[in-house]
Parts: sequence; structure tokens; C-alpha cells
Amino acid sequence: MRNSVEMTLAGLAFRQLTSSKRSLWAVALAALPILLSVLIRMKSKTPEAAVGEYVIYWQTLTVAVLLPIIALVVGTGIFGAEVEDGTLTYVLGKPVARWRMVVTRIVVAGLATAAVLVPATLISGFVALEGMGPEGLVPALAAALALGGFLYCALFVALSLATRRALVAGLAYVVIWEGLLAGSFGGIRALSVRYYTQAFANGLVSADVIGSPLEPGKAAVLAAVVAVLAALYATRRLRRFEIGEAVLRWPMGRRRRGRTRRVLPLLLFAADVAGSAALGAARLLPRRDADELGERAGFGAANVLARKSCERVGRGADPRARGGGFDVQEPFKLRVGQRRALLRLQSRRHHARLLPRRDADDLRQRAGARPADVFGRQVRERVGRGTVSRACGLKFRFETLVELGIRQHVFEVRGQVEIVRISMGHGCHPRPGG
Amino acid sequence: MSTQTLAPPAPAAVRPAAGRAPAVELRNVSHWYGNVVAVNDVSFTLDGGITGLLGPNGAGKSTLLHMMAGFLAPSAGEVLVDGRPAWKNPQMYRSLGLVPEREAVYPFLTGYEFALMNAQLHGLPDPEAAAERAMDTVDLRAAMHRKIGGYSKGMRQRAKIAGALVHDPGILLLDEPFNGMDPGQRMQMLELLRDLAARGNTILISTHILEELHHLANNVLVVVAGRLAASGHFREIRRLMTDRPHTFTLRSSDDRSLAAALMADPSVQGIELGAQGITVRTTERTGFARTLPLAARATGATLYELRPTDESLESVFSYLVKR
Repeated sequence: MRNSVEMTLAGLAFRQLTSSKRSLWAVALAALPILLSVLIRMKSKTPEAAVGEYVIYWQTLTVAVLLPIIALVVGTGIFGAEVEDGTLTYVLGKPVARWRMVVTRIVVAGLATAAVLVPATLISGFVALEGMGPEGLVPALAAALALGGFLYCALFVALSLATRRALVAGLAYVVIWEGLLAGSFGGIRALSVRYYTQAFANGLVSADVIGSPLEPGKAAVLAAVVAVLAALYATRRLRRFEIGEAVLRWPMGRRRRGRTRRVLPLLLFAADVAGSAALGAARLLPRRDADELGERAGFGAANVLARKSCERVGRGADPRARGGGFDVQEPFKLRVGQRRALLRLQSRRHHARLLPRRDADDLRQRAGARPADVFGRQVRERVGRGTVSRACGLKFRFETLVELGIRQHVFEVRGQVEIVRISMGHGCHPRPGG
Repeated sequence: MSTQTLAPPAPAAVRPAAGRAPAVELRNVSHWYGNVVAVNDVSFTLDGGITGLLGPNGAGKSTLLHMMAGFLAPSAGEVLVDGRPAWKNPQMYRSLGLVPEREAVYPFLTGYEFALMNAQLHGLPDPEAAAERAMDTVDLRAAMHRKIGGYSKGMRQRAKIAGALVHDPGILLLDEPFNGMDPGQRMQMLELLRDLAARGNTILISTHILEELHHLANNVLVVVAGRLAASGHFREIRRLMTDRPHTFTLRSSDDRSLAAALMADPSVQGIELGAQGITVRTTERTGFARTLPLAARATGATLYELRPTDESLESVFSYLVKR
């Protein structure tokens, strides 16, 4: 009987969705990645290049645009239509706990989003790659999309119950928050579904083709927290749902605008701090890896690398790492051709320290979006010479080394002196409090 | 309780036993939207039978109904259904059904599916049977497998009532149920509601037309500008509304002598002679209706126009409030 209540709720929500014209637009959008995949297939000469292109389009088009837009249409419509025409009372006027209504609708919205995007991803992946590339890449990307879709839906369902202008507010979130602000603030990145989705994909693919600034384990925890909070808020709103509620005023009223302008930077700062704090909290979790070591060390990847080189030659772990309360059992595999090259690495550490924090962040972020290009460009910019070539998004070759931000990559470094080969991988098992 | 058919329950259940909480109770209830007071300190109880909630548009009828249905929080006071607050208490929907005023019903569902959905959400053990029974009750069986989107207004209204009735609630709240119904459908609805009331259900019907409550509601609550202006038996309320001072304006060929003749009649309270004609205030409408033609013939004046000046519903109600 309990089951049948949920099924009835889900069935109604589903029929509501399929009967609206807006959802048809969402389905039409899904044709885009398939069209693009045909282009990629035609353009790319080698399968490796196709993998790189495909992943980039997945990140910049599917994850950054299609996923949030489709989830926005579906998520805000799933309660919105009934709030608008007042039919929601037929559902609410029942002795059914409100959270069950919220959860069912989020699930239906998430399924609908996934039903649109997962086939599109699978088909486009098949067309573009024809089974090439890292094993399980395409299914992993599709699964990450489905997870991200659920998250977005939870968020947008909550939004649709918070304001009548959910579509506008949701668009603002996607464009301003995730698109603009998350690029500059590391903390905001930790509170953005787009980056969760990328992190999920990263966690699900065995090879690291998606440079994600967020670590998958952390992203999973933050995402779960976001989803639960959104559902709780939606439930709360639904419990207090009032018919004929006076239309909520947009917070940017004429009188408030001046105050908003003053408060906005503060809000941004607060959000950034909150996101960083959330990251910090997530850091306490048992899962640890290279990325995290980098963050703990305080300045990002360059320091870690430098520190690793110290460890390799037996000079002991970085004191800061010690101070962080963990010990590195087995450092990254770092094979150095010559001792002189190693010294170079060490000296580079000090250079990296001189970088303002923002810059290091930016580097990592950009590395996340487009690992090779950005990475290479950064090198050129810093050193002013040398060339970087990129093959298939997995290997990099460049003349000299400045910073390495991406784990599980193999780098070939041609130093001034010798060829240095560094492979950073697993094998780092810090013990908490060690 | 859902297996119970719509047949009359045992007589003992018809009238609630003493000491049980009344079906619906409002204690000093107010509601305001921002600065606008929609309901102002209203108290009443409903227990069995049909009650009419009468008032002009915007008087706060819907606000009251929505508070009783748990879709609005009272800003002050208490709204109790079966002795428990209606706000944030979904369990009370087991004994309450609301037929909202808004016409929209899921157009993609058939009437039967709509009733079935309601039954399933109520967790009834045999939702199919309950849905069919509800369809029979509102006499929609012939059209029950057609989409609601293609229903007429009256059919849609009945589908809404079927949805609200499907779990056989003790309390039924209907917001303007007769809107858009033709006289035949109205009669049918009257039958249905009277039938339900005879089984001991508490029914509240909001309307802005007094005559809709004729032969239906024994008890009428009149709401004006958010206040409970009057309450009583239908006949009482109707008498109050008709036998009150009326004002007419009339134009004739000889205003002055007509005015003089009218002034002599006891039903006329005052007369004002102006450029546009005469304004007559009378205490008794029926008496004045007899006097006027007589006076006109006696003075030889020809009547051009006779117009009641304050017949709008609002003025009727505001008269009630002033008393």
C-alpha cells in the first residue's frame, strides 16, 4: 500500500511532465551532443584525439549547458505547473507525509533528466569513439551525468518551491554561480553541481581524462549533503504551502538594490568561505590521495611535487606535511634522470611559493577544464620557451617543468640537463595523525 | 473506513455524541496578506448538516475555506478540524475533502483516473472500487473514461467533487461549487449534497448568491469584509436582506406632485427632490411597490424611470454589517 502511494505520486508527476510542451524542448536539446559527436568523428584523425575532443565537449557542452538546462526545465516544472494552476491541492490534500512527495518528485525529475541525457551520451560516445579510449569511459560519463542530473533536480525542485521565478533563479545559478564565480573562487567550486558531476566522472573512469579540481570522494560527500539539504528545504516549503500565496517578491526590489550591491561581495565571500569550510570538513574523511596532499600542503601541486622529490632522495618529508598530522608511507613514484634535474625541481618549489594563492588556484582550475592546453600554456608563460605537445590528453611533453597539478599522469620532462621522467600515481597512503 | 459504502451509517453516527470535538471549529481566526486583512476575528463551529458561507467576492470566503482545509496558516487564532489544528497536519485529510474553486483539474487524466489517484493517495485498501463508487455518486459513470480536459464545466466540477468524496470524508468543503453549472446540473448537485448531509456529513458551501442556498443550507454564515456579519437560518438571513430600507430614484413627468403623493404613504420614509428626479427612501419594499403606481395614477404623473440605487450585493452586505 505504501508502495502504491509512491507509484501514484510518481505516475502523476510523470504524466504531468510528458504532457507539457516544455519537456519536448528538453528532448530536442539531447540531439546536440549526437550531432557534435558526428563532427568530432569527422574531424579527428586519430582515436586518441577523438577521446580528448569528446571529453572536452562533454565538459563544456553536456555538463556545463545541457545538463543544467534540461534539469532546470524538468525540475522546476515538476511542482511549478501544479503550483501555477492550483492543482497541487489535489496532491497535497492527502494524508501523505510531505517528504515522500518531495523525494518521489525529485526521483522522477532525475530519472526524466537521465532518460534524456544518458542515451544521448551513450550514442554520441559510440559515434565519436567507436569503443576507443579508456575502458568504460562513455558509460562512466553517462553515469556521472545521471548523478549530476539528480542533484540538479533536487536543487531546482527546492528552488521551484522557494520562488515563483524559479526558472530565472535557476538560470542565474547556472550561469553566474557555476559559470562565472566558480571559476574564480575555489570555495564556490566546492558548492557547484557542475564540478560534482566532473568529479563523479573522474572517479568512475579508471584513467584520469577529466581533470577535475574536486576529488571524487569529497564531491560525493558534498553532493549528498547538498541533495539532502535541498530535499529538506523543499519538504519544509511544501509543509507550509499556502494557496494563493502572495507572489514572492524578487529580492532585488528598487529599495533594496543599493543594499544588495553592498552585501553581494560579502555574500560571495561567505559562500567562498563556506565552500572552503565544506571542503575542509570533507577532507577529514578517510579517503586521501595526491590531490589532497597538495591541498593540505597549502599551495597546490607544485609544492607537493617538490616535497615528493625531497622524499625520494631521502631528505625526509616536508615539514608542513608533518605539521598536517599525516605521514607519507610510500611517496609518488618519481624517477629522476639526474640529480641536477632534481635540484631544479627543488628550486622551483620556491618559485611556486612566490605565486599568489589565487594564481595557483587558477592554474588548477584551468587545468581542470582543459588539462593539456592550459597546462602547456602556463609552462610557456612562466618559462618563456620550450614547446608542449599533447597527445590524447594523457601524455604531455614539454621542455621544462614548472608545476604539475594533475595526478595519475605521466609526464616526460626535458630539462636543460637531462630527460626527466616523472610518473605520479597511486601509492600514497598517509595515516591520519601519524 | 474506506470499505464502508456510501450507504447511511448507523443513526448514532449521524449526530456527534456530546463531548466529542466539533467537526470544524474556528476560534478568533484572523488572516492577513501583508497589510490586507482578509479574515478578521471570525469564530464559529460546524458540526453536521449543510452550512452556507455567503459573502460578496473578496469577502474572505476562500481564505476561510483554505484555512479550514489546511492550505493557509491562520495569522491569529485557531482553526481546528476534529479538535486538531488544520495547519501542517496532513493526517486530518482522512476526514476532510476540499473542492477548490479553481477549475483546473489534471486535463490528461480521465475522471476515473482522477478519482482513483485520490483514492490511492488516501491509501484506501480498494481504490478501484472507491473510485467507481465516487463516479457513481456524482453521476459521471458514462463519461468516466474520457479525459477531464474534454469535460464541460459542470462535469469537471463533479469530477472534482468525486475526487474529494472518494475517501468518504466526514467534512466536505466546497468553494463556489455551482459556478458554471446549468440548472439541471445544479439540481443534481443539490440532491447529492442533501443526500450527503442526511448521512451526517458536515458540508460547507461558499457562494456569493444567496438563492443558491435555498432548500439546501439551513444554516448560513454571512461574511463581509473579512468579518462574520450574520449567521442564522436561511429564511432569517433572506428576510434581513430583503426587508431593509431601500432607496430608489425615479423620474416622472411631474416629480413634485408625485413626491407629495408618495410622502403621504406610511411606507415612505423620506423623499429628496432634485434636478435628476426624486430619491425615495422606503422601509418596506413590497409596500412601496404597491404605493408607487397608485400615487402615479392619482397625480396623473407619467413614470419614466424607476431604479433601485443600492441593489449591488456589496450594499446589501454592508447594510448587514452596519446593523
